[in-house]
Amino acid sequence: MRHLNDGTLRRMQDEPLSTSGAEKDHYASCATCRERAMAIATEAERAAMLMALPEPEVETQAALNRLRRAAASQQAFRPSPWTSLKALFVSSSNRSVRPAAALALVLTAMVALVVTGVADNFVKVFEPQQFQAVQVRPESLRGLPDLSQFGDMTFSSTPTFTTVADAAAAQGKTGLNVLAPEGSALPSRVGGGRSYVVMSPMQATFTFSAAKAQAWATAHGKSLPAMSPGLDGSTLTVDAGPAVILVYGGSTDAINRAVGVGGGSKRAVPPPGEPSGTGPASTTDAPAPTTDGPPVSGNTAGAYDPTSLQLPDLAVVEMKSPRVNSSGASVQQIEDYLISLPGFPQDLAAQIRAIGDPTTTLPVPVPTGQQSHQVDVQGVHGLFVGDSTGLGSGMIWSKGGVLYATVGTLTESELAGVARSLH
Amino acid sequence: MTGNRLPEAFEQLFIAEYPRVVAIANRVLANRHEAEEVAQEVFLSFHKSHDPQASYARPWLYRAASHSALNVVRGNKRRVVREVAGALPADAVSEDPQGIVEQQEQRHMVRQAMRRLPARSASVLALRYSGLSYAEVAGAMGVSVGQVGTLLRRAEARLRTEVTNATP
Repeated sequence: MRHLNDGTLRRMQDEPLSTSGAEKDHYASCATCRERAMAIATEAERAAMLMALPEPEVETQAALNRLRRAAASQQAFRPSPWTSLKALFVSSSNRSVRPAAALALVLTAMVALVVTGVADNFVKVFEPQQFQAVQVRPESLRGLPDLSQFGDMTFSSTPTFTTVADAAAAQGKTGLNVLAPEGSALPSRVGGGRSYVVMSPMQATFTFSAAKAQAWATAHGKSLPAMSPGLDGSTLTVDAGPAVILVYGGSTDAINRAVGVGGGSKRAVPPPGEPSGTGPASTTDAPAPTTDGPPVSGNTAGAYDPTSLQLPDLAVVEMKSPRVNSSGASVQQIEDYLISLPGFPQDLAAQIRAIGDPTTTLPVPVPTGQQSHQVDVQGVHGLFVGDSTGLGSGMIWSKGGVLYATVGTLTESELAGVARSLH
Repeated sequence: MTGNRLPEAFEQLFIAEYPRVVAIANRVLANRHEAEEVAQEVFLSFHKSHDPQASYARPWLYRAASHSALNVVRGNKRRVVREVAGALPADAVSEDPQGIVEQQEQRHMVRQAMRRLPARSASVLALRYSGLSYAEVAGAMGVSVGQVGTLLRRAEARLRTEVTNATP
């Protein structure tokens, strides 16, 4: 029999009963192995001394209570726009809800995707100046890997949504030059009053972890592409907001749900594997108290049903352009890795690869069957998404360091008229 | 505080495994308070994404505890100066101040070594010296039981080298 390997000799120190009969026989007759075992034991004893620590005294019940509060708090206010987006896409295979899904799309892409950093993990965005539609099949997103399995996301500043009295209050809270459409540009069917919702700035970080990815792959029997050394440990910092959402008709509740904050009787519930951090900062955040009006986040748990989405007639969104910084990984490294993950739709990967300048172009996912094309608006290029019937459409563009979007139950020409009249 | 109860199966898992998850994180951080922070995050992350009755629940928690703790020591160098305060028994401080100082220095060196070691080496040390069996370590690391001894042997040798090199 060959000499016992170091691993076997090491285990013999800790779990001698694990040794097989043949190994015991060899050990008893082999002076070389016994000598090696002694050296290994000495090293182990030294390591044990170094690693020695008093066992921490923990109060498990108190810790459980704390976790309950953290879980409840996180569910109550933490935005889960990725959930909303997934729900929208996955459920939009039902034609009856497609208008609602399409209507929410641009708003979601502008606010939710950027806020979560999910889109920014497909490409690195410093100051998105242009937008490009990428067609996605709703059913293909079911296999999309969860970002939380490939690193740690923490929110150092969680966005809160607050209704404010008027444009001046919104401007005062955000510093944005709040624009509104000309009354003459509004179609007569855009009814009801208007209201302003303010989103506070947010900051999130995502750190890639090859070890975490491998742990996930091992646990799920998957094979992952190797994470390059430059990507492993690299941190992306996403800053977004503040933002102002001007809502005509409908209810702010619909907007709240579209951006994933929750509200009314229904709210988004995180699905398994929703992006989340395991750093120490993300559970203790609390929504900032609001003074100008009622907070618009809801607390009632329940399944998010995209078919219940009752969006307003028109919403105008302004957001300070998001910035994404990387501690080391290049845009190409991030893009290459993420789109090569198992479950990532190949047709979507091809479209993302085809984007010319990923540092300034935000890919806007558009469900297959919806129209999208480039438009000229406010002197810059933008993107229109929707249909020609007026059931739902949206427009998004960037100008002067601010992202703008208009969404509503309007036709393209009506929406364009609203966008051009903003002042 | 019973108003926000979590699913029964999850709470049972938490009660059974919280001390061990803290112990694993503490083995890396040498700080009970930080270890409990890590444990909270680990369980919260698990709760959001996984079935508490899944067969991989415990290995997942153990692995996440060691990796999250390693992320803390590697991501926040400023914390090392206050690393041991939470790990020392209160009575020890009054009994032997000199011993405490030496213990602090040693733990500082070990924590620095854990930061520099390859992730697998640091993980196997944290897991094994937290009391996990070889089979449990293997499950957490996604390796065969037979490999654990080899990984542990190498990790212990690397730990010695790191600490020796760091000793003035």
